[in-house]
Amino acid sequence: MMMENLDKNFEVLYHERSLHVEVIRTGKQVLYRVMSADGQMALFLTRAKDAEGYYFWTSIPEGRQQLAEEIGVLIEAYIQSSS
Amino acid sequence: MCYYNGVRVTRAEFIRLKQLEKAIAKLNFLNKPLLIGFEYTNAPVLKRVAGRQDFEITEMEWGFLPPYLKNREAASKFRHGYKDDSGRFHPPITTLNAVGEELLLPGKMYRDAALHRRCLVLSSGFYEWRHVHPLGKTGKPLKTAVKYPYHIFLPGQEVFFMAGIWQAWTDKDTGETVDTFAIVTTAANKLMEQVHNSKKRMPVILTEDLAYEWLLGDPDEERIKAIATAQYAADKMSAYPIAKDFRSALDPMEKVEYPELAPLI
Repeated sequence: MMMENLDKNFEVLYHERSLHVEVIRTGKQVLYRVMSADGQMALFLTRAKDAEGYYFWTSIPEGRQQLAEEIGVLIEAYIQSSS
Repeated sequence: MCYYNGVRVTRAEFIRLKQLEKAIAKLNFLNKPLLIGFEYTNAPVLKRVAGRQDFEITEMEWGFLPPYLKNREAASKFRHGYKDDSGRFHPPITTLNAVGEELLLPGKMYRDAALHRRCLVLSSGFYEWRHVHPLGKTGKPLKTAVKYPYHIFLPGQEVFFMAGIWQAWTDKDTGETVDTFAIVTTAANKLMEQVHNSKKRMPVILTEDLAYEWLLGDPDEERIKAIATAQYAADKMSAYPIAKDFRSALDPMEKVEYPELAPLI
């Protein structure tokens, strides 16, 4: 599976910390790589569909659900505001 | 129905998310075919999430830094060596690798990390030099060896795990905190004895079961030592020579034939 980095990186503000978000497209799927400036936070997020068909934010791999939901909302807001 | 991150998802969605996990593991290697230790670069590492049976993929600085180093200047002296005021040279201390057999010895810099901060270093292959001593006019081998770099990989496995240990390090001048790591090494197997024939060492490459135990298990000291000295099977590894200037090559993994070089047995 090949991945492609898109030139659509941006920043979001999370609890007064600036997070760098890198958009990565793999096939038809989109991943968001989130990095803090001090390198302390590095995680991958994506939007997934639950069993009822509703979208939710999740970390890849599992284990950072709360963070995924909180930062995912910020990413979504950025994308909506810039589209 | 399955659960991913505690949310109920369909089996198809679960499989898709699991496939994304694998894709992420490969991501850094597609962008970065070559990591050179002495550049103290960042590398992808699997690190346990504290207190949970889970891990995250993160980037750490290759080159274990003990907490007592006060700032980047001290870290640079530690890594590269330095002359003190009297002109005496203090040699560098290389912490890219940690000797598996010595990890847990009392007083060792790596002991606490081996007990409490083990990690998995993701790799798609690594590089070592084979030393060959050509015959001189007298028919005896010359003292100076010719060095041939080799690319070593696991056929059929794009990404594999090396045992690592990590240490958070803070620059007390700036407050910068980074996670640093060392790759654990063990005695060379039959293949690596021929390739890395000057030191006869190799990284500890872990099977999936051992990788799980190293990262998420609760091994006692004896078991940690056993895993830290595990030798991956030579017949599941492969190696071929590459360009002597591979560090600057466009494709550092390109195979190069050296007519004078005897094949590996």
